[in-house]
Amino acid sequence: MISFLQIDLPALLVGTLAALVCTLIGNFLVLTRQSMLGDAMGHVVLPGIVIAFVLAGTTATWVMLAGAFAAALFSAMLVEFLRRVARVEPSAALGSVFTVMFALGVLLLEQSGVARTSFDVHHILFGNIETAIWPAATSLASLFDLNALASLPPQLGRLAFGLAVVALFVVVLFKELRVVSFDPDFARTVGIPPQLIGGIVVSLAALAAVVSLSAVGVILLVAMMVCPPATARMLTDDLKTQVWLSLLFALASGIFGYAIAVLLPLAFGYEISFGAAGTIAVVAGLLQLGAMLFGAKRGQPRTA
Amino acid sequence: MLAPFPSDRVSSDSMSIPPLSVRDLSVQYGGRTALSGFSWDAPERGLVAIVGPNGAGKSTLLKAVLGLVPKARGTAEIFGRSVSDQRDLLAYVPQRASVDWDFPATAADVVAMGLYRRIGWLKPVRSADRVSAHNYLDMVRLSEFADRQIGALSGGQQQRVFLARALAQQAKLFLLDEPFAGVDAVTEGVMTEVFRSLRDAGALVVCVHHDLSSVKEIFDHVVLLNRELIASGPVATTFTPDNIARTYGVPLSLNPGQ
Repeated sequence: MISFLQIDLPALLVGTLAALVCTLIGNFLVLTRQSMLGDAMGHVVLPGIVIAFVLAGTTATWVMLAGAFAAALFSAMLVEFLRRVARVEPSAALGSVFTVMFALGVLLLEQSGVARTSFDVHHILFGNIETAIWPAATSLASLFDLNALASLPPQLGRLAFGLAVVALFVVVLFKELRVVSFDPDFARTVGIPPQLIGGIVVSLAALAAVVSLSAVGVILLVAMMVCPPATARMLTDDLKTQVWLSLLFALASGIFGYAIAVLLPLAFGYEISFGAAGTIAVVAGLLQLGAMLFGAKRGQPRTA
Repeated sequence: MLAPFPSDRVSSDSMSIPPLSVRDLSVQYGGRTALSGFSWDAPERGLVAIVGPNGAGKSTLLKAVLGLVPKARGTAEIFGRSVSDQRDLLAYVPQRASVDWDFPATAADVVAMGLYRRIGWLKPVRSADRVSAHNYLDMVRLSEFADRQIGALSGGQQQRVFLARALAQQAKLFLLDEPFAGVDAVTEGVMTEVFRSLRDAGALVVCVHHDLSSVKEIFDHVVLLNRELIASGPVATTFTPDNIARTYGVPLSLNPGQ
């Protein structure tokens, strides 16, 4: 029980919260066919984090968040600039900006010498849920002990904050998000500027990427943003239902993904468990496959 | 009932402010001139067709008036003020092909979007709004399709959903981009009927229109456009073979109305 509280519970919470926050904003990326933007956000925050570290000399949470967020917004603006002013094809603009930014991050990471001290490239790429531990937990009573709760892994606080902010915006701006995603020109004529709403979506995607990066990693981030919403989309034609279903799938991916990572290797007698970030993404992918094969809406007539 | 329509010249000389007044409007697309020096005062009310060949700048005209594409030069005023001040008075129906019909929304969801401005920022769509959306769907004879996903509707039905959304805006000026493109006879009938009742209620309906053969039966005013204004006025006097030939750049043998 104690080992569950100390090791499994924090990891489970981190994995699940990361899946939830990415999925929530991912719904609107998928709807506006900007899925790769989520991928881009994950990549571009790396130079932001490293630059923030070099400038501030600390890995304090808010410094890292600010650096990552600034990099994400800078990249989003750069993509818009390439698209509008330089007339680069949108996916090419996105592809070049996020890979170059990521490469810059890798270079900075190696050159600044922080790679060995504060950052592990492997963790940034593939995520590291397992380092989220809660040594202060001694019994179930720790769940109600403020002192013990205060020593929960700091990522949990960041994830909870990120989820709260994204959820607040999605709830309050739900109808604006809907009309801008469906018919941006019309939205503009009724005084709801698509650029403003789009900017908020990009910012929230950046926030989601930043808070969940340490858990799921750059490469798997996009799986969390895209798979659960795409799965839900196949099962309903109502936007609200889609968002709720996607959160349910994110929750299921987080819980079952972590359980598989821990339990499956044990069942086969292996000593080392799987990386939970990988199994969470695999579960999300399998759920999507299931929805494709057995989805209620499959084969329904559609007009182009 | 047909009220006598004042000619363009009379209406612009009278005290009333035209629903739409465009002055010297030019639009550039990547160095190419899409619209050049367009000036026009719309009649106070009625049904106006904007007619011209492909690439004549018809959709561009609507979009530039609405501020959806930047103006290189010129102004557009809605009832004497800038568009951003008059959003309550206008309704825009974009081309059907411009949106994603796979979007997770029902016909009623889309019509309710016409109420968003009155609902206001940050406030949710309430059940009274949904009832209202159903009423507007009823006006375009789609009430039984209210809960149908929009992609599962026919092209004509989709166009009627867009029209219902515009009606929900309770506007005085309606700007529609190719509303009759690729629609069925039922939809054409419903739309014509709705447009006439809007006109009788005092509204101005401006449609980008591609089908020369139906201009006379549906519309009472016409704007002939080919990157610049060729002619405008009542259909009876302006929609002449001569003007049409000038618009299309070739002496078409087509005799409108036959």
